[in-house]
Amino acid sequence: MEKQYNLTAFVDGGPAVFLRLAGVLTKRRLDTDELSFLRHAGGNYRFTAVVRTDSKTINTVVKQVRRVIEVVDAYAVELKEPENVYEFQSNAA
Amino acid sequence: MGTQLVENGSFESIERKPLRGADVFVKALLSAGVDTIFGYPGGAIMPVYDALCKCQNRLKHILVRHEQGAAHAAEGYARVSGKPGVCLVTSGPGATNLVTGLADAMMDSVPLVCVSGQVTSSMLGSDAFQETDVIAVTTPVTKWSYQITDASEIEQVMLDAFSIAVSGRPGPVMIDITKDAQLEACKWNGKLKPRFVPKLVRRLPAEQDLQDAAALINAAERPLILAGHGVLISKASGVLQEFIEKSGIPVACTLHGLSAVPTDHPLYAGMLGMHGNYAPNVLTNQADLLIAVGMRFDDRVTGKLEAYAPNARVIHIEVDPAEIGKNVPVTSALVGDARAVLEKLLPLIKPKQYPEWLKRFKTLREQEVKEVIEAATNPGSGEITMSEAVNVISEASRGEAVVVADVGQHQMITARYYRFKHPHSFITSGGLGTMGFALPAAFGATVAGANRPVIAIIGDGGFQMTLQELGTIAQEGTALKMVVLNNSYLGMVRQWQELFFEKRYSEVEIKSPDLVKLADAFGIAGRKICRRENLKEAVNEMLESEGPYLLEIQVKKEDNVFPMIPAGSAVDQVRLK
Ligand SMILES: Cc1ncc(C[n+]2csc(CCOP(=O)(O)OP(=O)(O)O)c2C)c(N)n1
Ligand SMILES: [Mg+2]
Repeated sequence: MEKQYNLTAFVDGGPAVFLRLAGVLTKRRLDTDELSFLRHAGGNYRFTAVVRTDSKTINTVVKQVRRVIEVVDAYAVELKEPENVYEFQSNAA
Repeated sequence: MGTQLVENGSFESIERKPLRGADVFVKALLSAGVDTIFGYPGGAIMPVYDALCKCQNRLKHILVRHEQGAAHAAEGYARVSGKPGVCLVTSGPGATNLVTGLADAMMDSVPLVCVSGQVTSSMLGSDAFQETDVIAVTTPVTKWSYQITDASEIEQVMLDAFSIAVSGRPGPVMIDITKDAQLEACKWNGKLKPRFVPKLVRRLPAEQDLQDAAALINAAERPLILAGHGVLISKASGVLQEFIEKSGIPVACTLHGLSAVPTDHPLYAGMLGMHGNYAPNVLTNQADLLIAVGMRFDDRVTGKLEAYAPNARVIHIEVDPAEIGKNVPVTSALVGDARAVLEKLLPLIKPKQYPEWLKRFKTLREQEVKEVIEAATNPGSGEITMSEAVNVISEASRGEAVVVADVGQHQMITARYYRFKHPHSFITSGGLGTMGFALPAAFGATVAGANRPVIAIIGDGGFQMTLQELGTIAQEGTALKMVVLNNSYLGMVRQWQELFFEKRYSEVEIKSPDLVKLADAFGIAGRKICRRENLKEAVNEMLESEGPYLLEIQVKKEDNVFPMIPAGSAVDQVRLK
């Protein structure tokens, strides 16, 4: 069953690693909502992807991401509908 | 600094002070234990070539005829020596010519360290002469890639490159060095350690996981071991043999696992996969336990996944966690080096025998002999068949050779009919199926000093893809024995057209030049035979020859490789005709 996952990897390396990480997703043509590569204060990067796929695939994808040499750690979490939605309350009423 | 280099004895004649990046690069190769490089020079790598000529006595550079040849030669070298193969090329076309070899090494887990020159860093991105974004081009087909733009990085990055190429699941590494980094003054440190160490250590499974796996093995009634390339990479053939003998469990090999167990071992069940043996394919689907060692359940092995091993639990011993559960769900995952895991598992296994189960293998084996093997290897009349040629080569070389097969029908026939005696005796392009692989790879295997004859078995199509390396072979005087099994067809494609496209032959007829004359033009001895009565004697003549030798055997034009699991069929739907 398709679900939405947030995949995060911490990278000890530069922007060229983005290519390799994105490749893990694009070569499978994963349905991707978001891709980012952010520099942290320490100089390392954080790779984030939001993808829609099944649990077997995301499992293998996480392992394929972990296998990238510069990746220090990687994991995926399933994104669920938030339980509490704080709606905007107008004071004007 | 200069004195330190003299002490190490590696740069006796280097007078340049300070050292340049290119000198440090060469020093890094030497300290990694490199003794052979396959390469081709050009503008962007000239400083390195200049540094190389100062230590020719310690570092042999072999000039190939095309960079693809360098990559495959390095693969052959790596697979025989167990050391990483090293390639050195220039920027742009030099680097792009490597790509097929990198992809091949990636698929087949072969350790390579490939290095390309690059335009000066200030020109990067400007479409300078011979500039290619090598990192972008090679990233998907390498285990690791890195661009060096500063000489101070060279020593560390090369140290990393070698440790990454050989560690865990081996693979190719691509290092791109800008010309200014090669020319820049820099120092040799000598005390650096490889980075990324947590990634590089080979883990062992937890004790409980080993116990659980052993319990599964001890309780099994119809177990089968599937041995892959990992067995050979981790040098586990010895312990694997102990394991099967103690446990009484039959073993089948993948294409890359071939020779891990001697072909005549009583528990050897044959080759798995599309053109493998009948018994292990059929019985995979009757087994109640598969013990997969250093293999990755490639689609050429599993056939239709949904119908694969429906009755079996699976124990997967594998160094790369990403392979576990990728294609086949497993009951027990033992992540680690194949040899280390087998050594741990061995004492936990009860001695056992499976007479009823082994009888099923024997019955199916006899059926395959009767319906396929007998006629293929001993046709009696008519044209020479590929199978009988390989059978004769196997006999004449007494199973002692390192055999390198190209890609196509002759490859499957070689895998099926050469009777291997020793581990590390079979080299081919499995994962990528690269035609043109065998000639340069066999050359590389010979350079690695196999101490055994190296025989390349190649199709007429594949031979014409990389035959320029005859020049390299001739220049090096390498005693490589080359056999071209000439069926005047791209035989494997023709077979598919015959079987699955109603014999509509489309672009599969191929003409070859006079190969003996061609060899002669390179100064290589050669002979062509068409008749059965010359076969044995010609093979012997080749094996007894001193230098390189090319034997062309004209074989039956339209012959098919059987058994065959048609693409997308279940393993037990294997066809005998
Ligand atoms: C580089 C490359 N191009 C195309 C193919 C597809 N292919 C697989 S086998 C084959 C035919 C090989 O012909 P030949 O070398 O004569 O060997 P044969 O099958 O006749 O023994 C082809 C074209 C390939 N594997 N590699
Ligand atoms: Mg052919």
